[in-house]
Amino acid sequence: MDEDKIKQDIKPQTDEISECKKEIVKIGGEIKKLQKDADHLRDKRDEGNNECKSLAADARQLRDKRDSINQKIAELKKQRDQLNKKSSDMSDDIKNSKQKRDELNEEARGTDSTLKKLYEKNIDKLVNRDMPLRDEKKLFKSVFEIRNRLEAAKLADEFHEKVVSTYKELKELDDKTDELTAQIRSHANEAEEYHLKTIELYDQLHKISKESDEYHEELIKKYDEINKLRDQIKARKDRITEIEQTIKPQTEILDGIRQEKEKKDLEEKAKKAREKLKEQKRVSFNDLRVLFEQDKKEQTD
Amino acid sequence: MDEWTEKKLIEALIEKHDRLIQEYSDSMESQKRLSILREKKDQLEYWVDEEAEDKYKKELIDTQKELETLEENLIATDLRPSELKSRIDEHVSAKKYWTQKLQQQDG
Repeated sequence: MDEDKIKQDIKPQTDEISECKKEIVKIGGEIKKLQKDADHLRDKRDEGNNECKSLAADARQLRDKRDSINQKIAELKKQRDQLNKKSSDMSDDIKNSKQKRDELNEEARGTDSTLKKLYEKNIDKLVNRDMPLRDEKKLFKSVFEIRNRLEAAKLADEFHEKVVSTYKELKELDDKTDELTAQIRSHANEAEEYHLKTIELYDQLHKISKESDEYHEELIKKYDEINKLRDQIKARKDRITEIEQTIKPQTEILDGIRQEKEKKDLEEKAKKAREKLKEQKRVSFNDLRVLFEQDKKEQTD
Repeated sequence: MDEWTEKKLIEALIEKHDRLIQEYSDSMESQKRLSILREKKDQLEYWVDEEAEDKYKKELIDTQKELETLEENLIATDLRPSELKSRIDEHVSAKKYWTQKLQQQDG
């Protein structure tokens, strides 16, 4: 059968096959470009996700620190409330003691020392001085009234001492309360700083997360495009297979013709190489290769 | 100061009245003795001056000594005997009053 005729007959099909192959290569190129874009998008997405993980861990740490400080603040506030309660009770004590002291001072109508002098003077008068019974009775009554007043004055002094010492305790308590308040304020500032930093990190995280999502969306779109192009390649490959099936008889014939030609060409070259050997001429590496292939071929045939 | 209970004060008052009663009584006796000694002194002085008797000198000296001692220790020398008696009676009444008061306390 005529090789050229066969080739002519199947030319439209082989041309179509060539065209399909060209398109496959072209589409392959596009797919490569898209894959490069997809790789870039995936890297950006993963980079963003990793950064989000890291930011989340940092934010969690800051939040834990903030919560720990807030707990400390709560404890300090509890202590301060206890001190305030104690302070309030002490203020009430002072008020009551002052009231009692003032009542006693009113009852005493004199200081401890002046009343004591008066008392002792009157006792001395009473037990030593010669006086009428009438005066004795008056003085006798007066002595015990003065003694009651003296006791009131002493008690008033005790209440006054209590007021003074309670004031002192109250001052110490107020100092402690102020100290606690300062600590609370300092911790609150620290907690606020951690809180603001946490917010900042979460804002950053949300921004980057949003960007990662966008990259991911773009990546999905790229995958869709790639898949569509792959479908196109498959379609063309299927078409090539279809055409090859159609022209299979002709291509087999052409293969046979080509093989025959190759065989003859090999035999010719081997013959020339043998002649060179016979004539003890120099043979090339190709010549040796041809001889070897020829021997091999003959063995398999 | 706190040792002075009502009872103790009343007891002290009773003691005071006892003391004063005694003192005024002693004073009354002393005044009587004083009067006698003064008269004795006058008489002795007269005898010593008039009769120049040495035997009365020693007695005069002794009398003067006793007189001085008595005058030094005498209380209420400006009071007349009737006034002294009155004082003694007042203190006896006062002592009675306080004694009854003490009995009421103990009762």
